[in-house]
Amino acid sequence: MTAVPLVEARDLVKTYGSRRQHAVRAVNGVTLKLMRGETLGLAGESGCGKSTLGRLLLGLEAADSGSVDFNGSPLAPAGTAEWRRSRARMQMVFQDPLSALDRLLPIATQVREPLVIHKFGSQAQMDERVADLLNAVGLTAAQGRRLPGELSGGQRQRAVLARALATSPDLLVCDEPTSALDMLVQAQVLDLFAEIQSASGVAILFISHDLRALRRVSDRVAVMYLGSIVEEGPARQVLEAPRHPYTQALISSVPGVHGLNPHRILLGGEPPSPTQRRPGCAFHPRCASAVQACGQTVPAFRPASSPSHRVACHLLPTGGTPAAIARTVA
Amino acid sequence: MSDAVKQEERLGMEPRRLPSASICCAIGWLGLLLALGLFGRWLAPYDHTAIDLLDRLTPPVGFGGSFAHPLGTDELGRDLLSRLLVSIQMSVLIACGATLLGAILGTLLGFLAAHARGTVEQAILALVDFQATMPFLILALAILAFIGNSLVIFMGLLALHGWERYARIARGLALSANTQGYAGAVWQLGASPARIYLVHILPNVMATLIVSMTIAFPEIVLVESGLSFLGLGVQPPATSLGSMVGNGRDYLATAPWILIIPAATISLMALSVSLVGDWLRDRFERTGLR
Repeated sequence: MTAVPLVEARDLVKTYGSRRQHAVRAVNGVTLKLMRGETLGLAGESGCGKSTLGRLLLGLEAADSGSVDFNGSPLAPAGTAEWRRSRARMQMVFQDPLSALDRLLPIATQVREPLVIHKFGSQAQMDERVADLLNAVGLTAAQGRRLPGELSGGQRQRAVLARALATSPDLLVCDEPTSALDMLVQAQVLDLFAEIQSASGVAILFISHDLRALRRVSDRVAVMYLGSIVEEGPARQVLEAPRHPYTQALISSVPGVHGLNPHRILLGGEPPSPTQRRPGCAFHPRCASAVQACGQTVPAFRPASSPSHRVACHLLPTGGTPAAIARTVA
Repeated sequence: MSDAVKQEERLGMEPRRLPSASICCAIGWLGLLLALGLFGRWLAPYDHTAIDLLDRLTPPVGFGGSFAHPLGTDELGRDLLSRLLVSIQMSVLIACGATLLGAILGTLLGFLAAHARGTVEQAILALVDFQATMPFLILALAILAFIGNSLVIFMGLLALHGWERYARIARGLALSANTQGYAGAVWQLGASPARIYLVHILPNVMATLIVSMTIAFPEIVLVESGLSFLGLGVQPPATSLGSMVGNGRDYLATAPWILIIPAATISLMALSVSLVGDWLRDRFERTGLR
């Protein structure tokens, strides 16, 4: 592909906390590309740095090192006038819609707000745009006149989505947008995301720990563990034929209609602490098939079954079996 | 879903309950004081400084006095009703002015601290701590002794009483709104700081600020009365409720009405504002606006 990616992140690192032994390296060398009109699902357990990565890509926070290019040019620092103008092109959808909305203002007023901020046009044009947006996310004009507290969780998330779409952004970062909703409403909102994407061609970074939600909306899926991406590729390949041991464990833990998978992979050991990193692969202390090399060097990102499906694991067969690799490394 | 909507509408249309009798009385009393503060000067039967030495220490009607002086006269034969009306005007003006000034100053500094962070925030917080640990009376005495006294200085001084509470509240609420709430969401929409603070945060913290204003108001009335009682507040020929109490002290045994009438007015005013403040806080909590 020769087209310029919409978002291109290179070697992003973000550390929180100043004292050396308590510093949390939330994002540890992430390189990522997102093309126009594509949905990238970002999976991983709580605390693995998914949300931080989303905020870095939007330029809401500055990375310690590495760079984010949007449409081929770097983002302006947060808070500057240029940064504020660039917000019209990229938007965020939050996990908790109630706290993301101002509870004193009617829904329609809040959907209108980005239009006012980015000087969309005349009053009449804005009125029309707000009506279109509410309609597109499945809210009625009467619901638009209500306060956030008077709507249900799903309706609020629709309102947040309408506000995010107001300026027709190129990029939408959705941070666990369905995790505060019940299953039925989740399904409706996920369908809405898919619908909006096909209608507007917006690129979506969909952050979720819910693999079923990711499968429903994503073109590609990236799996994060302890601040790094361990596997990335087309949604079908990653979710149906995972190559990284962590992805395999993650996917086997998803309960089906008949309850938990009896053959699921149980991870041993403690959930990782990003303050105490160990050398080598971040996952090796909990990996059932770890070999000696795993504790020594960080595995490189390598293509697996297809060039677009890439995995960071020493055990990935590059021509030999895992056992053969183990022998050669030893 | 339509059933649920109807249900919500029914709940929303439930008629508001009237506040209890005590709240109604308190609101009525405050309304009366406000009206007297605005128009009392023109209702006064005499000039509040007019001396009539032949009519000294006349008791109020019902205690041996006449309708010529319904609330009696003081030690110089000045009509107490006239003096009370003028005093109410002065005290209400000072208390309202100082409360508002303090609220505006504190809220601005609180927002500034939340927005600027870093050194500015540390400096403002140091000021807040200084204000909170300094006994206010000592601060007031020092300022009045060095700068002198005038109505504007006095009001400004009283505004310093309690500004730190607004600053703390405003800073805290703004910080939490910025990090995880609506303000952070609006920020990432590309809104300017002025828009975030004035259109979103201010209305959301207004309820809390109003409640703390109703707590600060009676305190300011009492501090004003205290300072005027000590002779440091409102200077003659102007008069306030506190200076009337100070005047009446010497005649407590022989003419108690000189002291009791303004003192009762102060107490009832402070009590009413506190009651209304409590009621407002309950209402805001019920509606979820805090």
